[in-house]
Amino acid sequence: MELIVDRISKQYQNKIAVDRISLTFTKGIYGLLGANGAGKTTFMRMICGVLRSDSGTITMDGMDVTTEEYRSWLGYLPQDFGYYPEFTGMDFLLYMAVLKGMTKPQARRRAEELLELVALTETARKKIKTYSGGMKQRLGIAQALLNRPGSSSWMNPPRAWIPRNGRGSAI
Amino acid sequence: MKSYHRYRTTHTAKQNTIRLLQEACEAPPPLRRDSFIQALPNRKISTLAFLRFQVGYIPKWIWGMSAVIFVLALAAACLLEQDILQILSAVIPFVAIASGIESGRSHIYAMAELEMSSRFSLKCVILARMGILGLSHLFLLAALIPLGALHSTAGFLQTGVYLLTPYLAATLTGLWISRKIRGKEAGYAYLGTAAFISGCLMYIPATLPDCYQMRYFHRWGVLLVLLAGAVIYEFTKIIQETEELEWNLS
Amino acid sequence: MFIDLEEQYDKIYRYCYYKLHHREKAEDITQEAFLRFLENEHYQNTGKGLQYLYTIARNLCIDEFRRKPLEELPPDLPESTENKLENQLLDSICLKNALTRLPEEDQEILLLKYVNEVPAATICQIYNISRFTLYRRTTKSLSQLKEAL
Repeated sequence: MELIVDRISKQYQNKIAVDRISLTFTKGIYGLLGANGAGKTTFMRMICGVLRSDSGTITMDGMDVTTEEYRSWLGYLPQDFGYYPEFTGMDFLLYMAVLKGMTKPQARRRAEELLELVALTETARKKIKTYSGGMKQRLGIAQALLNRPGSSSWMNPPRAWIPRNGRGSAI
Repeated sequence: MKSYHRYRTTHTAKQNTIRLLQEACEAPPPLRRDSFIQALPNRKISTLAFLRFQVGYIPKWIWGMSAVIFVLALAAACLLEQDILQILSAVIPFVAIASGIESGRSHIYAMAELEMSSRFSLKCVILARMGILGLSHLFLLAALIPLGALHSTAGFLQTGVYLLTPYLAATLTGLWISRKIRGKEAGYAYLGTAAFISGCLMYIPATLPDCYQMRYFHRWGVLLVLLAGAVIYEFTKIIQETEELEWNLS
Repeated sequence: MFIDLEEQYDKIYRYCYYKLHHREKAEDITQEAFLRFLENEHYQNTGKGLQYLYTIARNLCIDEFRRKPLEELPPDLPESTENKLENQLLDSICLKNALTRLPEEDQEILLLKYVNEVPAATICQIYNISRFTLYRRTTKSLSQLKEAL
């Protein structure tokens, strides 16, 4: 398993957010540390195929990250995410599971498994707006694991993981 | 009573036997299940099933509004003795604005980034919602146009143009708002737009009654074609913009 | 009929384990059954998918027996006995013994009907029996188990 980042750049008007970065990631856990505004979020979004780079390529085992096939394989937890107001925890996971390509029976089964994993089974039928911050984070983690991803990207992992002087992201 | 008690006892004994049978047939958990299932070419949801799934996520108030407008139109046709075309064209913007709301919903509720990272990406979600709404509006217009034509002095073609024009005008502004205004403030913009267009359509016949005359019909036709082109343009821009999120660095 | 493979994996595995009493072999055969099922599009498109899947698994188990008789494992004691009341434990052992005294096919039918919740029509197709025969055999087997308790 190899994620190859080859000379990617991203520029917003006058600011260069990512400047010709080339990296190779193999199997493992990686942390991305940097000061505010360093370009971590932009870089992560490009790796996840959510944002297109201005130049360069990113491929996972030869698969371009902008393809549907890659997105089927990816688990992604953004820095901030919302929810439709009528959603309960279970509704949210079912919705995301179907977007990730699962059939409804698969989605239901997987959602129940993950709700148990993140200890949200009892609050699964309650609206997400009643959830605490920690519960929303756990729901986000469950969502990222729905499709048994080969690769997961987390923006701003839980507080315990952040080094004292910086903010971080994790792959 | 005795036979009921006997039935209960027998039933409970049977349930107990089945429960023990289930326990007896239990197997130790498989060790290689997950890796095998992941490698299987599991059936994915079809595009049609995905579309059917999206129908359930269109807010119920949107369907309710279409239903209310249809019922109002029927009631007006049955109870009022005047031309109902003006009423229909004044309420149609509230139906049309739903297209704009749905196209911007993902951004309003901050679901866009999650949807973009899925197999059925944000583009698919928006296309699905717009397609579903478009089809439902087509049915609604197909019902309202004959109703309007039968209860007004205008013919079918004229009625169609007089209803489609405010519909497309509201759709166009709704789509434009969904591109330009993010967040919950967009809701006020949608409502305001629909109210403005509706107000114009109530006001125009009073101040310019001749505008619905046949001799000005070609101007309506030109306006309709321009609006249709503009709607297609706005829709294309929305789809292009969903292919790349634009983030403000500040 | 669309087969949800993930849902059926545990059930087919349970069936194979019951027949073979060997965890690894049961899992091997489960996976082999799925692969053979998926290889042949005919199995998937006829609407008799579940019947084919169980039939493949059953035949593979029979072949496994013929190829190499597996070690006869002692009957399993129920796990986590600490929390079970003594009566429940005894019932459990009695039922297992009574189950092994039933004809093999009747044991399988009970497993499919009451544990794997396979539809009656599918069970009838797998064993080539009528619904009446299925009803008669399951009722008789269940009453024999009840008597043992």
